[in-house]
Amino acid sequence: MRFSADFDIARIDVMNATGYANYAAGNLGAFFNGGPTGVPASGRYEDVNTYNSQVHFEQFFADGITLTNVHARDGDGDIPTEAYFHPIVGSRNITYENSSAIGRAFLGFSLISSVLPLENIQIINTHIEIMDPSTGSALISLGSLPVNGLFIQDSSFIAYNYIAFRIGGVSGTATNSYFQGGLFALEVTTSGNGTPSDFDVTDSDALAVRDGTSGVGVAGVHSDQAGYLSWTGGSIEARGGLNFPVSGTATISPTTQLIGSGHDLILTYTEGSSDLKLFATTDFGLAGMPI
Amino acid sequence: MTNIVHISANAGPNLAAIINAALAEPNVSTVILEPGLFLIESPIFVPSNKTLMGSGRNDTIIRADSDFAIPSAQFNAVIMSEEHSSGITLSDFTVDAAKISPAACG
Repeated sequence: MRFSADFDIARIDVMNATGYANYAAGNLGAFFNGGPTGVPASGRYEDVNTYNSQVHFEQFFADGITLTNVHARDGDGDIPTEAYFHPIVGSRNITYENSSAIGRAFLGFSLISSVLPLENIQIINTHIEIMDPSTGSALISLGSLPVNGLFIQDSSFIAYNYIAFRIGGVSGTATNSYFQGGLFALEVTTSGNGTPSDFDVTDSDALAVRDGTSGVGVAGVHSDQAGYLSWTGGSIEARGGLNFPVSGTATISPTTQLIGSGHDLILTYTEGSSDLKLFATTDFGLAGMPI
Repeated sequence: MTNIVHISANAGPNLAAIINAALAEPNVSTVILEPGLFLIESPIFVPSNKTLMGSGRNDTIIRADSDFAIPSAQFNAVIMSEEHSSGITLSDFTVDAAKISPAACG
């Protein structure tokens, strides 16, 4: 759907694309030149499955695309998946709902805010699970420009071996969601142009988990500076060789359970028990974790 | 513009051209691909306000043939919207890009 508006794509499978399985793009060049055809792409995907492709769903300079009940898998995996969901270059008002992406991909969501900022990206009831054995992430947004509005609800972001959720220069919220990584569950920093993040998480759970005998330190969440990340309710847990529920500086509510099993904060924590520690403080300044 | 055209997988030796001709017909609103394997040798182009519909994702398969011709050095896809189009509908089929190279889209 190149330079196409108001499209409808439903009940379709796409497989074995060495490029994009689904590509929706507006005419960015004409937009910058002031031409009448410089309009963003728009439309709807519903009940669409993808397999074994490099990028599964791309939204390039799009305004108003809804993806409902779309599901991406790496399939037989002989085409390496760069990303399952790829909003890029000024895309705005993009909604992913009741969807999933699971497999040995490098990235689940890859939000590229460059040339023009991304705006109003909504992820609702969507599950991302990245099994890449190296540095794959379930969501990454570390573009040169900020993302103005990333709204997450009832969703999960899992990366088996690395940082599940990495954002820089992102404003937004996550509610009733789950983050799990093999190094950090969630990391918050700046965008490439130095814009700070302002991300609020509510009633959500973060878990960084690694083999306890590995000696590898893990952190539930990491935030570069105060003000970037606020966490209310829910829990943050680190379960690895060395455990830091919160690394860096974040604002954590008194009702958030912080769990460092086996080391540091809770020495007696037992998996599945109620032996959890509730912290009644905010702005934890724990030392950066060794890597 | 309400005519509906049905095309079968054995409609001829050049299926993409047959489908494209039907879609380009001004009086045709919808092209329905019947159940079967549609091996195509070049992209299908869908114009504004046209519908390309299969007979079910498990029944209508559109696959890039081994000699699929890449029409553009800039953009390659099995099914493409016409540029600057609107109101296109695609439904009820499977697209197999068949790992064609250089990099191509579904």
